[in-house]
Amino acid sequence: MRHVLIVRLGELVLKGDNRGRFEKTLLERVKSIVEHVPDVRIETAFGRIYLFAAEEATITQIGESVQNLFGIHSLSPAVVVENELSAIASTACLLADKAIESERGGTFKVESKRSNKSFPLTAVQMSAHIGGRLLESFSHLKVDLHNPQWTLCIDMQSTQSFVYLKECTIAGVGGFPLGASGRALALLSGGIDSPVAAWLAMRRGLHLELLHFHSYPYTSEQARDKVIRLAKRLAAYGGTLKLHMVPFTEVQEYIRRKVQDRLWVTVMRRAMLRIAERVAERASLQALVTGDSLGQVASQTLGSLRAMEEATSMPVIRPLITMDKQEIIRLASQIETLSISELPFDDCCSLFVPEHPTTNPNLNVVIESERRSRQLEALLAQAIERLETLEIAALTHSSNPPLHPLL
Amino acid sequence: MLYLDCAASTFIDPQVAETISRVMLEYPANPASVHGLGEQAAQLVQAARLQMATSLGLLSEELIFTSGGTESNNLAIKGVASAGRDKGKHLLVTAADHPSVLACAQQLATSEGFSVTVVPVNQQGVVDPDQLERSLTSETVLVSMVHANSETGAIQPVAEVGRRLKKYRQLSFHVDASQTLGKLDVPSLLPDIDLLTASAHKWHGPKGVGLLIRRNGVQLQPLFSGGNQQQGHRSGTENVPLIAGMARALRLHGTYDQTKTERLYRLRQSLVDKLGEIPCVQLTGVHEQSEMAPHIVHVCLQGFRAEVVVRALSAKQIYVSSQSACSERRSAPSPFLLAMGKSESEARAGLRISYDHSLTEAGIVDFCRQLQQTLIRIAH
Repeated sequence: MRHVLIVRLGELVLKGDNRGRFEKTLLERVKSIVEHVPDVRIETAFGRIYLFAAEEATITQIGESVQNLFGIHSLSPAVVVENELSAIASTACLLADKAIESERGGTFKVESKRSNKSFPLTAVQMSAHIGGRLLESFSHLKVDLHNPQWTLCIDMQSTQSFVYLKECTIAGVGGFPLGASGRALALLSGGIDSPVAAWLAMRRGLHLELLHFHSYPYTSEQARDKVIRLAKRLAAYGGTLKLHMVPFTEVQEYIRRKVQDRLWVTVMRRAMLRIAERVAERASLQALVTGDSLGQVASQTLGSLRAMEEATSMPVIRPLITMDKQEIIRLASQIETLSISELPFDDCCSLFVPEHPTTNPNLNVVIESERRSRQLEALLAQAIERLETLEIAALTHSSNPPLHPLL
Repeated sequence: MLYLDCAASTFIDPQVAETISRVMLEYPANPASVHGLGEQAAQLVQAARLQMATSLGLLSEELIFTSGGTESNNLAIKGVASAGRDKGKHLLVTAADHPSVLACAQQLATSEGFSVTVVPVNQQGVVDPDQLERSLTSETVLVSMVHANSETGAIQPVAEVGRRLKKYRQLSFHVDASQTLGKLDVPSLLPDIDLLTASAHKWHGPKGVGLLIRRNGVQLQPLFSGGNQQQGHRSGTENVPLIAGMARALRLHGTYDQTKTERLYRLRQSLVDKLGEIPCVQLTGVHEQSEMAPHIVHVCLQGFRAEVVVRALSAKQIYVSSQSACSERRSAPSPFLLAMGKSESEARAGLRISYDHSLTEAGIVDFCRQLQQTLIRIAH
């Protein structure tokens, strides 16, 4: 018996003239996953990719990786049969047997689709015929067209048919294929939020580079490893990506000396955005992505966001802006960044936090204190000069990485 | 050399030994100290904890580091019994359990006034879930059960018992998975288990360190008084090198991988087939592979004293075991084989062959030939 994974593309099929390019991007990603798996054949059709294999286990294995690709609406593992009524019927019985065994229930319906118009039966006739066969073979089954407990689908193609249970369909993560929406720079702190923000931005088709600020010796080597691990995890979704590490210690120390403590965080964040903007421009990236969530901390109030945004002319994309912490944590757990983010190493955002940071900074006062910090500009330029760029390759789940080099 | 005593202990993975030695030298401080060196040690312990918890699908506070399987079993049984003595004073253990479980229950019976029921096993060495459930009383605070018996490898119906015990909310369910973690799909059982014992040296980790998994909400009275390390569950400075070594061993060898287990089962089948060709050798337990641990084969050598065979094979650098190692030095019939209804002479004739992934088909052929020669020699 041969098997196929039906991969249905998402929203991107609606995208007019760019569709071809988007589909090609996605196909390349699928190919890169499948090329390591022996004996898999790829075919494409309108809005779909078919992956054929001899073993059901292979299909399951590919499904687990393909499921994570952006731009996919859903996946259905199916059995491939010849376009012959008796073959379709016996496969239908096999799948019905499976449905019964996994206790899906006793009411069902058959849904057929016929793209091969030369087939002697119409889709409706096919459904009726196969439904009849199932009723004969399994005496306790009943047809329920409106509210079935399981649905058997038959997809009649020109040379073969695909038979599957609708309930075995897996939802994809949706979105657009990587790069379909352009390129941007995501700020990655090491906390729970920023990797989720980056993932959401990638899901919407942004090809990302990542930027991290470190403050050695205030932050540790482990904090650096942690960010690299997060980047590797994100690379599992977004392909190999660049991680820029900016030494931020001197900027932070200078701000602490020059600026009144209530405004430390505001001025520091503005400095980060300025550096980010210049790094982005240099790499031809068109937007910044941050993990801000409205009201979560003092620097994420509307007033603070307004004061920060003034520092850059680039669009700042904030995918988490209206999300609750619980939702963010759920997503972080789903994309498997949570356990890395929870490692106990401080990042530079949790340092130099004054006891009473302002929640509504006065923009004029902020700009004035930056003007008085005459060396700030030079220190920002120096930080960018010392930036270190790493190429990060994907960390797959199966490689089971240690949390520490000694572990 | 053929080392076929992996159920007693495995050889440490050199990478794990390297971790331990480096941590001993490079992380010298007490993880409870506030200064930088202490902080480094604490972070390493925390990372080890998180890594292990994540790979088992647990929260990091659900792991208690102990000195090994025996301590974990003691902490689970005495800890639950003492914490729950107001709720009842009945404990339920099984005849398939490890001596540390049975002795622990016995001690609570003689000195603390608990009543203990030892649920018997059938001739295959397996507990009947119906009989176990019938033995529960309103006073039962703990059911303890081994996942796979360490002597014959008989797998106990842990999943079934776990499901049934869900409705008895006053009691805790402890499983001793010393033999099975990494070899059977233990993580899938965890949702129905309250406490679980594991020991690092069974999966190429160091001796002297183990785990007690304690699901959140399970009340436990600690065995030790002291500095309240590990949330008070286990006072005593954390053994940083061994904990780091255990984490590495778990990552390398203690994670369940179906392909590896299938290979162990193929080796088991081949060993069983070849042993079956030797006269006087009788396979113990169920013939159905899936009901036996993948890394243990137990046989009775009819008419032989197993310890003599063990010593004779040892002279040929082949290392097997006669009873489970923890009671081996005593020359007595195996209590577990007696519990299975074997005669006293049969219970002295049990030979356990246990292996890891390094065993080869050639090794199996060699072992069976040497065993046969040894039996011929001793019989004359």
